[in-house]
Amino acid sequence: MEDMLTPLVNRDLRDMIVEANDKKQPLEILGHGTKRSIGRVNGEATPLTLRRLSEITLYEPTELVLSCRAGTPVVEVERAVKSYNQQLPFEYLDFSRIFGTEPGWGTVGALFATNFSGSRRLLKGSARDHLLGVKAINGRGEEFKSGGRVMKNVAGYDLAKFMANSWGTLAVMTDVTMKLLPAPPDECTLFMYGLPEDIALEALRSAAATPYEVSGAVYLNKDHAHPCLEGVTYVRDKSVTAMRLENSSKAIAYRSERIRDLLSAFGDIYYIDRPESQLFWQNMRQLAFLSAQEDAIWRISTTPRNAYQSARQIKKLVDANVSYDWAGGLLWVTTRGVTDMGSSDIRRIVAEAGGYATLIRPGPEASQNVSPFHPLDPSHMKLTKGIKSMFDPNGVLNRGRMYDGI
Amino acid sequence: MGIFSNVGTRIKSAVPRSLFVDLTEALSDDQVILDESGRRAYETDALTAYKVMPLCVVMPQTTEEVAAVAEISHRYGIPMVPRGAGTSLAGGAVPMETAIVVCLSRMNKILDIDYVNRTALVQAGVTNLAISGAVDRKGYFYAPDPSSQLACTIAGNIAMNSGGAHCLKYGVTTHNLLGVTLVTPDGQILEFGGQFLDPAGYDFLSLITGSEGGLGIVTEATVMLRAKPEGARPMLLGFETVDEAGDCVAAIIGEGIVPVAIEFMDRPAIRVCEDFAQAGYPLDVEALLLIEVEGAEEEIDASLQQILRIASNFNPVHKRVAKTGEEAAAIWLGRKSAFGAMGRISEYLCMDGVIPLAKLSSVLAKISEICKSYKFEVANIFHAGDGNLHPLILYDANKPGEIERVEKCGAEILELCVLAGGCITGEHGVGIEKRDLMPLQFNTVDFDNQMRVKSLFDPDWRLNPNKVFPLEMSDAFRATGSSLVTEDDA
Repeated sequence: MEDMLTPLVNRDLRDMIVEANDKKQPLEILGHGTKRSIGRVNGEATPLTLRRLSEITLYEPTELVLSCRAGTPVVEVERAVKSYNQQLPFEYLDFSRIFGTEPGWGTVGALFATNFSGSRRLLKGSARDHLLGVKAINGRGEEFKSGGRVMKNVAGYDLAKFMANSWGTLAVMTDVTMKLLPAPPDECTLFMYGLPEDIALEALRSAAATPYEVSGAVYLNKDHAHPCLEGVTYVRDKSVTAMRLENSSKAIAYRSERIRDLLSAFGDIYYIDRPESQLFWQNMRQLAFLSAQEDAIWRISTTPRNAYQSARQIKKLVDANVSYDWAGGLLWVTTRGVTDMGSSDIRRIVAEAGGYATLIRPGPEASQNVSPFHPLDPSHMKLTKGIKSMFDPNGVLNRGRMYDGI
Repeated sequence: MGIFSNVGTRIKSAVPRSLFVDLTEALSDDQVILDESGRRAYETDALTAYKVMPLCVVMPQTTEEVAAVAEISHRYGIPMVPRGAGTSLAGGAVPMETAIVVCLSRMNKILDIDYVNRTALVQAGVTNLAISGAVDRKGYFYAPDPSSQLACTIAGNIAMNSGGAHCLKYGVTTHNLLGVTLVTPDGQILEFGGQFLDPAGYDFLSLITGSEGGLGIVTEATVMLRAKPEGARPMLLGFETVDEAGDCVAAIIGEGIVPVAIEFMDRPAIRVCEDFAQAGYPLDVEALLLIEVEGAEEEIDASLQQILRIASNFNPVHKRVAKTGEEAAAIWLGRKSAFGAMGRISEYLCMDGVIPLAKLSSVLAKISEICKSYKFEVANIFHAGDGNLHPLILYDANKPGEIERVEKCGAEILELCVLAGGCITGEHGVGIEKRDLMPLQFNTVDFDNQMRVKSLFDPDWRLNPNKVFPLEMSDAFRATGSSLVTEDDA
């Protein structure tokens, strides 16, 4: 077990950050380290974990709001809200099956700091969208707050949401307040098998553009599909196009029929009811479709319109396998056999199409030269450096995790 | 401080004439307003108690023209105040006598509608409702719906992170914005986000949204389009007490139903809205809930039945579901015209505090006490689903000293909201109206962290500099790097 700083109260944390500044000793900010493999870890940094700041401090089910200390495991929050039939709407990604960690054991602070949202993001928004308020200690050792515990708050700059996707490089969140939603009483999934990729994407986009509130719209190629379908009745060795509906049973029955009508020209549609549907989407959220392989894993956010063409171009240049979430707005790409994991081709193609590519896991041939985060253009890098110097002038928090020197 | 006194109409001699020559060359004659009567139209916004004659007004039509204006203003060290349609209730667009008003109202083109990506690229001066209008026939809409949506611009919506009655379900501006083009105070053009979700790197969109035009001038925006529901129907529920109405809202949400909107009106508000819109609001109840649900006909029926069942535990004395489209429109017209209707009978100050729903009845009782102590009438309109209160405090603007008194009364109400666990503004923004109340919510460290962001984007504090932050604190910050006001400063 490596030496780790484990603050018990905010004052400890603040003192540790101040000391890190005095000694010019960088810190690596962690929850339970379930996403430690993503991004670059500064080998010189002293690990600091928030895991002892763990407590649900406020939960008002009738206001759909929950506050907790940043080191609270997500699984505990889920357990608490489940008892009131509520949920974290953005369906956070659980990397446990990819990195061999314990499911749900990631902390709430890290969930928001990394802002990885799952399939339901398409309909309900991202983790960041549900972040109402934070208390945090910046790299200067200053405790500040932003946002609050109410649903609407436009007083001052929204530093709370700004902490999302900052990967602990600006401030260490100590407390987080989030918006919840009621868990839908029922759900189903519509499956289509063996559709060609471009046709599948058209079907998904059509479904997502209906008023029927499709809360998941994915296409898994036949290699990726299999692991997600454990426990689910399905047709083997075919790609799977899946659309989820979550609502009252009555609404689902009506809406699934409408979508069947709409997509009837695309092929046969199979109805998967709640238990199997839940299993499928849990597998999706745990990225089961990517876990069995050793390949490099890329997560690409792009425009649905260009998704197929981008994937085609990538596959032309790199040995790659592609699946889609968010009705084409998100690509999961696995690559093999190239030292840069396809980085230069993928990033060029994605940048032209609009969007960016994050390297979630390097492949076995990994080259250290590949930046895990999509390189920024000079004007954004200048602003990013400027922001870093405002919040963490000595670069003690997670320096280098996202970009060199940041 | 004299910043908001009307300083007359003469352009200050300290400003070189060449500024206006340069502006006119960069734009065209009819895009630079120098004459007194022309400038007067821009001396205030919807917070009409404050009036300041601006140095001049420019009306750019493209991002490049905004950048040219910014570059010139940078060269001369002149502040800029960005302006959309001037509908800010918080004085967000109130000018300064030394500033160029950059009015975006001529940047009103919808540049691209992409139904495949379900996005619209618009110039920032386009009105909120124009976007929904442009995509309506294809079955889409832009979700945030501030009451001023007919007039207000997307630029202003982004500046204030505007919400609306339907944001309970669809979120506010920050949840519906995918990208912006931003002109920096020195005239650079930067792009943030695009037609994809969750941009790479730091989330600059979250900073820009709600920054009240203090970080840059947003000239173009990419917004999310949503599929219109198959149908929507409002219902009215009247209660004899405020408590029952508040408890009913909590019970609806507690049972797992999130309607698209839950609006609350108290007795004075009901009366005024009914006089105006003839919506059939009951006049004999203390509290009225306007609840809207969406979906197909059968889904709507089922949801409304469920809500009625829950509501029956709270003794509703009036229940009415809109039966026709006209009836539904009338019900909404009453609510959406509330501010205008109130304006017909009196001047008012509209507050925008947010409270935790559980505190509703105690907060409303205290609001009533506070207003009584000042001898002001108050009407409460409230986005009940998300706790956003709009007490309208009625006052006589012609009576000397009344404006100061009503502001004091409003400040007490907002302090009450903060003490209840809420905040001073939910969707209108801080502007100049509430900047001195910001310390109710933030301490100097909080301010320092925000002001450093401001300084990064706008090192000279030339962009809408006198908004959001208390002036003494921003002065102190600019002088010392800390917003802590020392005795020397005071």
